[in-house]
Amino acid sequence: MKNAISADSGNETAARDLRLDFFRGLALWFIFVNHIPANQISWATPRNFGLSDATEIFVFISGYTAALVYGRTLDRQGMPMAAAQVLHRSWTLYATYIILFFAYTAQIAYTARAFDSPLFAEEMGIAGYFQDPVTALTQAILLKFRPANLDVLPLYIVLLLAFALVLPALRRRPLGMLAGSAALYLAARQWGWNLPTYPDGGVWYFNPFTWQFLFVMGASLQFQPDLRTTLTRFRRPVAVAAGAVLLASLFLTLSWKFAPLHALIPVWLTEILYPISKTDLDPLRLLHFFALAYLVLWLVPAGTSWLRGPLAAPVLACGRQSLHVFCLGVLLSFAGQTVLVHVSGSLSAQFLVTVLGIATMVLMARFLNWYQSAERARRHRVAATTKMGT
Amino acid sequence: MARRQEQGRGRRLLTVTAILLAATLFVSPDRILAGQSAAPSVDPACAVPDSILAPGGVLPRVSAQLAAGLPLSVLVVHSAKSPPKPGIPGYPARLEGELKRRLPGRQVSTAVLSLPGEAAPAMVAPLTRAVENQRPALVVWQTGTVDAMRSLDLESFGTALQSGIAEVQRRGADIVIMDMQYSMHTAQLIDFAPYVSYMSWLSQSSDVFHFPRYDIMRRWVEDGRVDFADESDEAKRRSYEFVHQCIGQLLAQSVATMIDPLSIGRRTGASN
Repeated sequence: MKNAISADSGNETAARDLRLDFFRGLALWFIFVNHIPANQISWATPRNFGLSDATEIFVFISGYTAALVYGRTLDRQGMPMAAAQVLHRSWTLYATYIILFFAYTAQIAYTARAFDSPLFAEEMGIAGYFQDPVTALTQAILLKFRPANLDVLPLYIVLLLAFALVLPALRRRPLGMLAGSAALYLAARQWGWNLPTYPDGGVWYFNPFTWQFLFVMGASLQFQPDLRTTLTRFRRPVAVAAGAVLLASLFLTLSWKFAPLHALIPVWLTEILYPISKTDLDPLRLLHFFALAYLVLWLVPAGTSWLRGPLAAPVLACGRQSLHVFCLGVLLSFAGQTVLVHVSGSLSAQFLVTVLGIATMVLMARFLNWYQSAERARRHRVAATTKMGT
Repeated sequence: MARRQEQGRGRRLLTVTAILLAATLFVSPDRILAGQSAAPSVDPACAVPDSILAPGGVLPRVSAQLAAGLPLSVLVVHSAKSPPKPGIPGYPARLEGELKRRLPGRQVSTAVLSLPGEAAPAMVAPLTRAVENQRPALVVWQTGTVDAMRSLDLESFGTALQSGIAEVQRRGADIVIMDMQYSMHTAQLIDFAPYVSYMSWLSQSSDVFHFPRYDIMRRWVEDGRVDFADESDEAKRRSYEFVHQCIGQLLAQSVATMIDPLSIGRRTGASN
């Protein structure tokens, strides 16, 4: 608590673990690349090398940083302020979601027009999306009509809203809350709980009842530095086991692409392993994520020098402005896809779209970082002058 | 002198070719026979490399029926609207003719069951009933489109797929599963990938052939053989025709390749 207060005296960024920003920034880059279907460069992202992917990284770190930021407010200014901050953040996210939804709607309208083609109309009836705009819009406002690629945002909003409620309990009894979260995770998997989507019959792509577990785990680990150190301490057997998990999931992932590899896996084993559900955050995905996190945290310890170097700087900038960069990434991936469809889909065009997209994300993140620190400095100055004046 | 040398070289070349041919025959008699039985190949414009479409294995029930001299009856079950708009026959209608071309002298009949707008779980019961009533030798089941569009639960999709396959096989028919159409526009709006990979995974882990329409169409788009971005009516009609014709050909070709060559080879020999 004392530490938290002393950090208040100005240098918050120095206390912050740069790895949080770095890996969240990296996850955002991956999400951007993965959201362009025509982009073959997405082959290079983690989802093709293991069971878990950028979403796990993003949700876990979001839980961790939410606990860091709002836990600090809770300690200093109490529950009402912390709750207000969380709700304010949720509201920002929600507004962003609606803005992105409109961009997406324009995209559908365009596609529906282009796809008044009998070939697709007979099987997909794409125009059906627009048959009842009133329903579609009201459902969108209720987060039920969720365009593809925007799935993470509704999940994040719901998790943050719930976070406002559980924050005090989480602060006081992190382990108890984690146990409760694990119970909810298991129950949701057992009884198939999920939230509905429009059109009827669908479910949320990221089931909030299961994905909350990763978020809460991040948050409760943030509140328990001792447990964190114990868990992440290097032990050879654990490292070997983690390495084995990574290799096994690499093999599994490759076996989805190359049938001969799949043939090597005995049938009884596949019956146990599959299906590996992303919607319900399969335990195997969790296991892979923990193994990955364990090894990465060992390979990249807290004070790693290259995190301060020029190569990591663009990634760090994006990680610090995760919400804006995420949203910009969604818009850019729409734009990138359009360019690849209509202008050129060549490999060099894909490369160019990827590089330009990431560069735009970095530019905006840098601008926002500059703006925020300048704004903070300005407010300090104003506060100082008013104080002197009175 | 020079002439003789040339002749000698020519003879040697012939010998080498003969040896190579014999070796090929010796190594893979199946392949050669399958190639013969499926004599009319696909249009070069439709063809895709083996890395995308490589029908393997045998359709045992179809082969047995053909070996017994029975006609080949095919039931196509799909989730598309039944009568195609532009008056151009779709792939289900083309399948019969394409199969007949590949199975000369054999009777082929196809029936179509349209379940427009239905997801896989809702298709299982009508599919089973139709197989029960019509007793086809082969079922082509196109599904997954609606499931992906409505982003329905992947697990219930998989369960439905497996139970549909089991019901068809229990009734003595072979089954081929077919996935969704591809275009960049639709792929941007709808996340097909998990459903496609579930289908291909399922076919890898069972003996069911998965006809990879999604990947085939994607290859055509990438090669520029078909352009869905062109909005003129003429272009739409052309791409409709191209896709249905090629899907019909490739599907018939895959089925013909998976018929045990002996089951038709014997018949052809007898009729000659």
